[in-house]
Amino acid sequence: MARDYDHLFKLLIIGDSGVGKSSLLIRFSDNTFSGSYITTIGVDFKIRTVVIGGERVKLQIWDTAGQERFRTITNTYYRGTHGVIVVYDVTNGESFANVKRWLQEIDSNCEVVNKVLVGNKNDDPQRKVVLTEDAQRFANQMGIQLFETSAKDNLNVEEMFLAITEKVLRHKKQTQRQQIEQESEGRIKVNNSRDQKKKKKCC
Amino acid sequence: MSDNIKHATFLTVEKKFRQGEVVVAILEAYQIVGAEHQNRILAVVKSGSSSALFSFDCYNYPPINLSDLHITSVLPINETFLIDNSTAGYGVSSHQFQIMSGNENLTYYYYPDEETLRSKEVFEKILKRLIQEYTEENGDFSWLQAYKSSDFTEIDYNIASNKFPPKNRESKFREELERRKPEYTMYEPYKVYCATWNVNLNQPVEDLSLRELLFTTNDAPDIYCIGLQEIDMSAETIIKSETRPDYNWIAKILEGAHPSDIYEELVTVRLVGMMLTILVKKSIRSSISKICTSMVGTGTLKFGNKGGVGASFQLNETCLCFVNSHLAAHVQEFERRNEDHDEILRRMQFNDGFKSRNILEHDQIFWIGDLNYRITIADDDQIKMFCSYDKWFYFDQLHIEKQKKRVFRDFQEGKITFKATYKYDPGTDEWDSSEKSRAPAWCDRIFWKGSRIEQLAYNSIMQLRMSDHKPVYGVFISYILTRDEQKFKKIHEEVLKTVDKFENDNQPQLVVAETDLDFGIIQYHEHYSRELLVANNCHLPAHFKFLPKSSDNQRNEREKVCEDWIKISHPKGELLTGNSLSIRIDIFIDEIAAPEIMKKLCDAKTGVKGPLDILVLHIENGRDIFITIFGEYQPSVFGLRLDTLMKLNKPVLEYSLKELNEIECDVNNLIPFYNSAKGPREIYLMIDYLYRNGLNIPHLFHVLRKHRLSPRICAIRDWLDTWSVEPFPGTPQTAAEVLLKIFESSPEPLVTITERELSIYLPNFERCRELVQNKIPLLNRKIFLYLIMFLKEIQRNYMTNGMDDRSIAKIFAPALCRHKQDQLSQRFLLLFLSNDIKEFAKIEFDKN
Repeated sequence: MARDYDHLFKLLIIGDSGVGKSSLLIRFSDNTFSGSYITTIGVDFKIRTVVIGGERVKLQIWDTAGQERFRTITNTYYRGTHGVIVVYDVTNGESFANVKRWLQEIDSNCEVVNKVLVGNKNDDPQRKVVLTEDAQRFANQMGIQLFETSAKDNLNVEEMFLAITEKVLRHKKQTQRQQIEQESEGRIKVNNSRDQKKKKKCC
Repeated sequence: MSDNIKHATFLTVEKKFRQGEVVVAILEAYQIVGAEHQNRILAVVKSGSSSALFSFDCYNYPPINLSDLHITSVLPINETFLIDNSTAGYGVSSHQFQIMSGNENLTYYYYPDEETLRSKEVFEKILKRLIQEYTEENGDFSWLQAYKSSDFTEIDYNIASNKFPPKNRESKFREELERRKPEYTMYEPYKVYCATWNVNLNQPVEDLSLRELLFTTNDAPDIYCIGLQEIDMSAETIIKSETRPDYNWIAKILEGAHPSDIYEELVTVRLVGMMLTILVKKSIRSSISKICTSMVGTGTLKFGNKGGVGASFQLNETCLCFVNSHLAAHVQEFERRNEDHDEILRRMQFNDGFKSRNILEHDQIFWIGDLNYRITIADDDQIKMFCSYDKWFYFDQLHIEKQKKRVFRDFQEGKITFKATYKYDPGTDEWDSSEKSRAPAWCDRIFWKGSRIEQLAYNSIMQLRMSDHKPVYGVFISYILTRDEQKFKKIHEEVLKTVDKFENDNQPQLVVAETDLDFGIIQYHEHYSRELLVANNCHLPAHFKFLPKSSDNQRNEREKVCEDWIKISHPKGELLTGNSLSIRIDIFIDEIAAPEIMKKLCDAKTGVKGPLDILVLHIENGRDIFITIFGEYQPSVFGLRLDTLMKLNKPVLEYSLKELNEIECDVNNLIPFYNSAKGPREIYLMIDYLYRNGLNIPHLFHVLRKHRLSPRICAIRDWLDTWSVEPFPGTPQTAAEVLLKIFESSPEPLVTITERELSIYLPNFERCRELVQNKIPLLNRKIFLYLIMFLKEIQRNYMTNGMDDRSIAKIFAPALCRHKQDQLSQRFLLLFLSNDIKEFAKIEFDKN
C-alpha cells in the first residue's frame, strides 16, 4: 500500500496544430471540454491513474505543441516515452496527410514504442473529409490501431487511452518475461558450468 | 480572548454559513498537527435537528474577511462523536483535549487562562447536550456536503509563501484513504479473554489444568491474553534477566483454551518471572499484523524481577496492546508501585520496524497483572471476616491512587465481586496462616482503555489452589475496525481519481504575457532588449528555469539554453503566489555572433522573418512554455567572408539575404571580384583613413580595446554598409577598432596557418614566408601583406604614437590568427614586422 500505483508510463500526444490534442487530454484527465481554442505553446502534462486487471497504472500524458516551428524542440520530449498517440483531424485532410511525417518523427526519436492513430473531431459527418476506410487502410498498412474519437462528444476517448495503456502494459510484461527467461537460461548455464567443473574435479 | 474580539470572530464565523445554519458556540484553540501547533477556531453549528463541529484554520487573527477562515475539518455530531479530556497530561498538556467522530481524531489544546477555561466548559456542555440530543432519525447530515471541499487549488498560505512544502501525492493518497475509512470499514465484535495469575514459583505440574481458568464461557474467545507472574524467581534467572519463554506453561495454556475452537500461540514475551502469552483463533490469524513485544524491568537493579512485559499487534484496522506487569511488593510500598507503573508506561515501546509506539498509542489496551496494591487498614481480621470489595474499596491503595490520578489514568476496571485474591495458604482457600499472616488484598487485577470495549465477566477462580494467589480473568467484547474489501476496492479507485486531480491541480503554473518576443530589425553592434513578463497566479510557489535544448546535429556541442548572443536576465528563479517578474532578454550581435547569425539564417532558409531562437521556460513539476524570439537581422559587412566583400558590387544593404547567401557559398570564386584592389573596400577605407589621420595618434590601437563599444562604430557600420559619400563619421581610434572588427567578424581567420605549422617553422623567416605563400589563399595573403606594410608604418612612428612591434603583434595576433594561444602567432607577426617584405609583397600584389 506504500505506493499508489503499480506501473508508471509516459504517453505522448503528437500531431498537427489544431487537431485537438489538448482537448483529448483534458477530456481524458478531467472529463471536460472547452470549445474555445487555445494553442499549446509548449509542453503540458496531466496525470491519470487507471486500473487494468487489478493493477494501478499511473499515466503521465504529455501534450505537445503541434506547430511546425517547435518541431525540433518537441523532439526532445520523445525521450523515455512508452506510448505515442498520433492525432489528426478527420475534418482536415492535410492533418491526415501529415501523419506519415509524425510517424517518421517517432521512428527517428525513439527506439521501440507503442503507438495508436487517432482521428479526432469525429462528431460531424457533414464536415468529415478523411474517410474511415482510407484511414483504416493506412493504419493497416502501418500496422497501427486506428481510433476515431471526439473529445467534444466524449466518443471513444476513454477506449483509445485504455487501448494504448494496455498495449504498453502488455509490452512491459512481455519484456519482463523475456528478461526473466534470459536470466534463468543464464543461470542454468552457470549451473551447468559449475557441474562440469565438479565433474572435472571428480575425474 | 476579549469579549469584543470574540464577538467579532463570532460574526465572521457566522458569515461562513448559509441561512438556517446557526453557529451555536465558538472556541479558540490550537490543533496539534504533527509537530506543529496551528491556530484554530472551533465552531458548533446546528442545522435543523443535526449539528456538526467545524474546525477552521485562521490566517489572520482575529478573522475579519471570509478568506481568513478556511475549513480544515468537519465533524458531524452523531453517535461516534466524542469530546475527550482523558489524554490530558500534566503541565501544558493538561489543557489538551481530543475530538473524535467517525474515524477522525483531532487533538487540540486551549489557552490556560481562566476565561478560556470557562468558555471551554460552556463549549463542552453545549457539545454534550447536542450529543445527547442526537438520534438516528434526526441525523440528516446532507447539509455538510457543501463544506467538504475537494478543491485543491484553494490557497494554503503556508505553502504559497514557501513556509511549508506542498503535500506530495503519496501522503495525500494515504490521507484520503484514511479520511474515507468509515466508508469501507465497520466495527466487528471480537471476544477477548484476559487472565492473570501469580503462580508463586509453582511448575505447571501434570495434573494441573487451566481449563478452569480459561474455559468459563460458552462461546470460544477470539483472543486469549494470559499473564503469569513468579513462574521462576531463582537468583540465576534474575541475574540473567531470563527472557526465554517457558514452553511448559505455554503448553498448559494451549491445553486449557476453549475446546470448541483451534488456537495458536501468536506471541509470548517473558522477563524473569513474568510471562505474557497471546493465543488467537487460527481463523483470525491472517487478519493480524505488526506483531511486536516489549519488556521493562523495574526495581533497584532493573533485572526484571519486577516490571512489565507487553505485546502489540494490529487486528484488521485496530491496534491492540496487552501488558502484564508485576509491581513492587509490600504494603507500605505503594509509591514504588506507582513508580513502576509510570516507568512501564514511559519505557515500554513497540517497534514494528516502521513505527515505534508506546502503550497509550494503541486503540485498545488491556493491562493485567499482580499489581500488588494492598488494603491499608489496621485490623486485618476484619477483612478476613467480611471479604467483600464493596466494603473495603475505600481502603484499596489502587483505588486511592487511581482516584488521585496517579496510576491507570483513563483506564477502566470492572466491578469487583470476588474475594481478595491474596494471600492464601497454598492448596487451600484459607487465608495466610503463616507467622507473617499477611492481610488479604485484591492484588490481581484487569484494566482496559479504549473505546468500544465492553466487559462481560470479571472474576477469580477459587478452585485453582496451588499458589498463594487466586487467578483472575476478565472477558470482553471488543469492537474491531474491519475493512470491507469490496467497498474498499471501489473507494480505492475513487481515491485514485481524487489523488490524480490533486496532482493535476497541484502543478505549479506560470503565465507569460506573450510567447512571441519580436525584436524587430536587428543590426550588428546594437543593443536590443525585450521584457518577458512572467506571473504566478496559481496557489503554489513556482520554480522556473530555461532549459537547455539538445542539438541533434552537433552532439558534442555543449547544451545551450539559447544562442550565445541572447542573454536572459533570470535563467532561473522562484515566484511566489501572486508575484510577477519581468525577465529581460537582451540581444547583442558582436564580432563572434555576426558570422554565426548569418550562417544560421542561411541554413534555416526560412527567410529573414523566421524565429531567431526558441527558449524553453520550464516550470518545475509543471509544463514547459516555448518563447519564440523573432527578429529580422540586417546583414552588414561585419560577419561576411573577406572574398564576399570583394564580390559586392553595391552596398550590402541592397542585397537580399538569398543573394548574400549565394555569394557567401561561392567558395570556388565563380563570381568575379568587383574591385581589383589589394583587399576589400572596407579594409582599404580604414587603412587609407588611418594612413592620413592616425599614424601619430598615441596608442591608436590599444591592448584594452577602449573603443570596443563606442557608439561611433554603429555610425561607421552604416557608412560602410551604404557606401555613403558623406565624410567618414568616425575617429582614428574607432577606425582602428573597426579595422580589427572586420578581421574578427569574418567567418574564417585571415591567416589560415595552424599553431602546429607555426611551431615547426618559427623562427625561420624564409620558411614562414613560404608558409604564407603556400597556406594562405591569395586574397588573404594580399590583405595580410597590405596590413603588415601599414602596421610597419605605425611602428615607424613609434616616437609619436608609442606603438612598438610587440604591442602591435599582441593586438593583431588574436584577430588575425584566432589560435587558442597567442604566443606563436605573436612571434609570427613580429617576424613579419621586423623583416623586409617589400619585394615579397610586390610579387604577391601583382598576382591575379
